Amino acid sequence: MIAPRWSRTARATRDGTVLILVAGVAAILAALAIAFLGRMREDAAESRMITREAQARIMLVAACSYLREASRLGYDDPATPTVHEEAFGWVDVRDGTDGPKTREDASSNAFPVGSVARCPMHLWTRTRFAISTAACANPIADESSPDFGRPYLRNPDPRPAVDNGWPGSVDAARWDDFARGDPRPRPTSVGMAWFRVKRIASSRFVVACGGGGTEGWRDWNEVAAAGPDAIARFGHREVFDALRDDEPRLWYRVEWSPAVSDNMYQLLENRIHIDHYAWRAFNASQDFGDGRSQAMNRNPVGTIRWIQRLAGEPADW
Amino acid sequence: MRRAFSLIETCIAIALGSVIAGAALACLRAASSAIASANRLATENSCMRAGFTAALDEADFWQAVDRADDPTRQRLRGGDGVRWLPFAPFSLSFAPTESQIDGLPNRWTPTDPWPAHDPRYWFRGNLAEHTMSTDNRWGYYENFTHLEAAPDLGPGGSGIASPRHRWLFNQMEGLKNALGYYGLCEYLPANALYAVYGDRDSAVGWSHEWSAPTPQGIENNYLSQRGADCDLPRGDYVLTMYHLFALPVNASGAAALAETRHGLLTGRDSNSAHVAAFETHARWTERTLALRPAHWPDVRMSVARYVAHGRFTTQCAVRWLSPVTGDAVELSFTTLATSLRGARQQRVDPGDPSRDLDGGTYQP
Repeated sequence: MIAPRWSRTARATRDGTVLILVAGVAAILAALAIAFLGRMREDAAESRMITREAQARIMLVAACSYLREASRLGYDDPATPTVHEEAFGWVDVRDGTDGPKTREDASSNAFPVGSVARCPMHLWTRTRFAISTAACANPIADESSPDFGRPYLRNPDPRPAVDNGWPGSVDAARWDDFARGDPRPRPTSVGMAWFRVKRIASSRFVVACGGGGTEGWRDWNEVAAAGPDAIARFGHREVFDALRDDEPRLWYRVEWSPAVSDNMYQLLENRIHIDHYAWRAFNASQDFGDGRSQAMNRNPVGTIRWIQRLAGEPADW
Repeated sequence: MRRAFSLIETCIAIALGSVIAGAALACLRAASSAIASANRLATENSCMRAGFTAALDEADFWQAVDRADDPTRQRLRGGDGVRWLPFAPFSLSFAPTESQIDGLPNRWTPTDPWPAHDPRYWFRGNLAEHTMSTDNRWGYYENFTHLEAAPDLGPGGSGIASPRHRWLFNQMEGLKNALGYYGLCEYLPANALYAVYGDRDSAVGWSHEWSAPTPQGIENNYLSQRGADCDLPRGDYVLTMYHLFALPVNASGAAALAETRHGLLTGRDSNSAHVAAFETHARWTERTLALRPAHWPDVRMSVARYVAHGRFTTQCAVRWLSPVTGDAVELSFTTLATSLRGARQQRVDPGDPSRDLDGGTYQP
């Protein structure tokens, strides 16, 4: 039996209505989902910028630490293993001239005014002289062991991250590896932050802090001038420019001071009713053990005297 | 021929259709609600980020404390002729009558690095000398170093002295009067000893304002508020160990002058009233979005700057209150940012547009 024409038409109309309704509802849901995803993406992008801003600001701490440590440390010459050269500050504490100069070479100045240090801050795979992260070198044995309950110091603690043969025959075959570390960047830390310092006066520096992947290069021209290795880091100018445009950059002016901390808490605060002046004398070493003499006041690298955020990019950094 | 729907079929069809339509509506409503919640959370996150950014900007540029481009919002630039507020230009606040001391300029020199080897910066007082109960048994060190050019040390000190080293003490006194105690701690080197010879009452002994002990957190105009048990020259660690010095941000005029010479008890022996006093004195709070839709969260950022235990702290907080749930959340953090001296260098001296507030070349 053939259905009447009007009946086929009515069913087709109903099918079309349902289709339109379903399509409409689906379209609404899709639009809402897309709006939701778009909003979340926008949110994530804004959060990423905040994260980068925070990373850039952390770089200010790193730069200040770098300036302080570079004033006194890090000038050891491997060619003179019995002498460990120490510097005497950006403004030499002995004569007020520009440093850092070592004791052995009064004419040396590793970082004269105008010098720039560019410091990408990725993590090394293994830092120099890294020790093992094993938390417990001498665990207490369980009840089945005759050593149960006895905290024997059978294993050296700490131990180097580089295998030195322990507990077998310990040797120094891999000492160089231990001392050199593994400078290959950890992939998850690459391109996240950097700082850069330029010395503008004896004790003053411009510090640039970045929360992105340009590794402290100022612009593409600087990359190109540095040679093929630097160019190979980014490949093309467009890549570098995109990274630069995507990262926050902050500029500061800071000043280093040779002054370190103050007289210690115990030195002048306590024991004041007796002759503390002799008992806790400056430079005394007899109280080394309980930390009450200036000998325990260890801050050999100076302090940051002031910090000034610059309103915009300085002409030279 | 197709027959028509029966009543039962129609009823069932209508019921099923209603269920489907209801489910679809509920689905739409749930989706819409989810979107609204997501939008609300996203707005809350955006506001939180705005508060975070505003707090960091304030930490770096100090605009809430001293609006560089708006003279009506520069509460901390005045003074009474002797004591000044932390944003007064040194051309006003550090302008001593003696132009030279010990052969050196008796003014603040912004480019001077205060090198450690230079005898100008060496402290020459007697560290073992008490402020309140001294009998000068180790002699009169005032003969070596003093605020005044010709202090009268009395018969025991052989009368009128001619101390050779006065520059450092005059720099310290000048900074104290120009900036207040918070600024003084920042401008002096980290290893400074806080005492000078010479007092308004007597030329012999330490200045009481610098080192005489006073009750904790009560008295103004004394650097040392450790109590009565210690009246020796000290460094900034001990000076700020039990009470701290903060930058006053909610006062102006005479009240601000007093607050810049005031210690705030927040450590041992402090109570809720002391902490509340600190909040009133030191914390600047403002709405991040003064004009906002009623359903947006109320976000406030605050910044407090203080020196305690010899450490300078810029403590920020972002707090938001949800108008829908009523939840209040606070994110509190510290940051390394522009110091007071840096902030002064960001601002131009109204008397000389080429100079900053410290007298250095204006380089914002």
